[in-house]
Amino acid sequence: MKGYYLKKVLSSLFVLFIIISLNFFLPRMIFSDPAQPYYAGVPEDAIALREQIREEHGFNDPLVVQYFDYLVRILTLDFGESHYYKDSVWKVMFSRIPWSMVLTVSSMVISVIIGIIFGAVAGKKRDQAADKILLGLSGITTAIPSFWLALVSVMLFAFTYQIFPYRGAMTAGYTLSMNGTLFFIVLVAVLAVFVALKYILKKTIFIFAGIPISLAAALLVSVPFADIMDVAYHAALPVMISVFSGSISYALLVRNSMIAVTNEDYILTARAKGLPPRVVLYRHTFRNALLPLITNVGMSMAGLMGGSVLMEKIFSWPGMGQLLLDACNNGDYLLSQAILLLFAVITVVCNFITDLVYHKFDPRVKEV
Amino acid sequence: MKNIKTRIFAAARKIGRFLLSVLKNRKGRLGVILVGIVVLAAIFGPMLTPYALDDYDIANGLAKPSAEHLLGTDKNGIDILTQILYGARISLIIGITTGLCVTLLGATLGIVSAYFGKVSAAVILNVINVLLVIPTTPLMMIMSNLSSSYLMMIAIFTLIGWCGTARMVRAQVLSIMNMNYIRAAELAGGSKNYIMFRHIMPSVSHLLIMNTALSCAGFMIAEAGLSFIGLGDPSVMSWGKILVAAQESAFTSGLWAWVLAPGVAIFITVFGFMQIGYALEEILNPKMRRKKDNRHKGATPYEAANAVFAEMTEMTADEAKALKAEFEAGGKRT
Repeated sequence: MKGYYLKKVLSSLFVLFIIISLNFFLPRMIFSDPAQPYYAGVPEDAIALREQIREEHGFNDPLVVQYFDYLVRILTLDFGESHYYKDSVWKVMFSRIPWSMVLTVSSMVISVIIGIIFGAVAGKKRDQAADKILLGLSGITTAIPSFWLALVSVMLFAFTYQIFPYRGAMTAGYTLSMNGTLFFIVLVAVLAVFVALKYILKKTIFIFAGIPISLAAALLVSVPFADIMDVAYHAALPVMISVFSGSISYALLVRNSMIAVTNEDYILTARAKGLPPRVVLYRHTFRNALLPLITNVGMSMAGLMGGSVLMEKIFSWPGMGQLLLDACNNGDYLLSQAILLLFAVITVVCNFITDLVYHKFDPRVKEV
Repeated sequence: MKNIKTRIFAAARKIGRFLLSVLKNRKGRLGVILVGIVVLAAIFGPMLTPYALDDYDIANGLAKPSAEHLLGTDKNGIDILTQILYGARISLIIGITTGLCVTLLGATLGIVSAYFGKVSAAVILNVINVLLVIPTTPLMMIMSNLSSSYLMMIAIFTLIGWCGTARMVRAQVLSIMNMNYIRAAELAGGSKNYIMFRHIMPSVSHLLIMNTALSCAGFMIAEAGLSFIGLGDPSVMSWGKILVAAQESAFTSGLWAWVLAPGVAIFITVFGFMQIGYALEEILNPKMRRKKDNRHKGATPYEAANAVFAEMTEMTADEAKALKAEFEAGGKRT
């Protein structure tokens, strides 16, 4: 088992190395002059000045030297400064991540809950009403682009009926006031309680319940209630649309794996030894059917910080997707490099954690 | 000569029968009709509409749907229906080409990684690992700075999209490879290439055909999304682009048709392709033909479990019953 994880870590590091190299070469392929962003305010004809800037930032060095410079900078976590925002890339990114997470985390938690319930009801028995409804809905939601659904609902609820706002994450002129230290203290304290509960009661579920609950508790304590309500009001429409398609895809996953598990021999054994159908359904079928959900949720964890570009664009939400889109349009490649790398690191880490968690829940899986 | 002729006829008859079976399938019929409408619109679109994409008529801009402009006009007075007809072309081109390219590349690499030695497998699997970790949309956004032509979009989609197909094909081939008939073919002295084309390809082909239809559908949605965030080809009309323009001005003027029509067009196309995909799966996948496992229907769980046990031990139910009777009689064998 140890060898397996060592192999996994090594291959993850290799993947990250490839992505860092890609990050280095892509801007040099895309821009005829990669030093372009550094010329802010320098006129076209000031060739000497431009040359000086190129020299200063090492763009005249051989490519190999530049590459090693870049590697060293990445390893020291120095991502440079965004040219468009005139601020450190770290700062710009971390001012956006929470906003993306407001949308993605809330819609994922709601869709997983709805998806599990709906999927379990539909997967209980094939070809009954709930099952048919789920299959029909899933055909429709995969064929309808969610951004179009968002557009239609904006037109309906924000223009024709003006129930929900659709621009930004807060009412114009408002800023979020948040007590950072209080947030952190409450987060750690509540999380510690859940971790302690996990070790006392020996139920892993506490860890999974603990993360969202402690986040919610910390937010409730550290942010004024009016601000929370304002953000929630603005987030309602995008979250509802993501939940609509997200919950159905999770439900379909649960339903399919419920049906697959029902055909397993151990379910037959459980029924044959005379367990009541309710117990077979919830203790044997349902619990085993949730296993594929772990992988799926783990995979989409990486997208939580990334946010959805389309939703953020439609609702002018100040999240990561929008930031990356702007960075690409402005040629602000130091920022887009850092975002791409951040996404990749999060994906690698999430995949690794998913593997560990999956192994914990399903000891049958040894090596792939 | 005659031999070739009869073979061609036989092949044609086979294809004809296959197409007929798609039309006989309920989902297949629906899919073929929907996709047919879109294909006809894409081919004959410009002939069906009296307007062109550059018919500026600003005085008549933001018009409501009327007899002249069935779906109204945009800010510059360009007919929306015309835009949608032209958009069908790019959507179909990108969807179908990418679907085919992804399936071809994925299938080839998937089979190669499963069947031709450890080195190729290691290389391909590592490439897949890297590609799966790279977040697709951000990479697409960065790469689209290279060139905004729609050919570039097809290239990027293919470059990123093949790994899913390859993984699926690889898994399928690996499971087939351990089957007895492949072993038998190997023992009988079939070469690797022969076995691959003669035995392995046919057993993954149903997966590939279905996958092509479904990935066409998926890439059409992706194309609409990308052109909606402004990464599409600026020189061609696309459904995503119509929606961007609609977001800017249709909302305030309440032009519902402008917002609804492109989405309905996307839905019809994608839904049609998906239905064809599902129909092909039903027709081609032998496992789907036998609809349900009816072996133990009507039996009590106890009897069913007994039957499964009998199958596992390769006993008939009667033998199992006899064994049980023996056991109950005190375990004495006669």
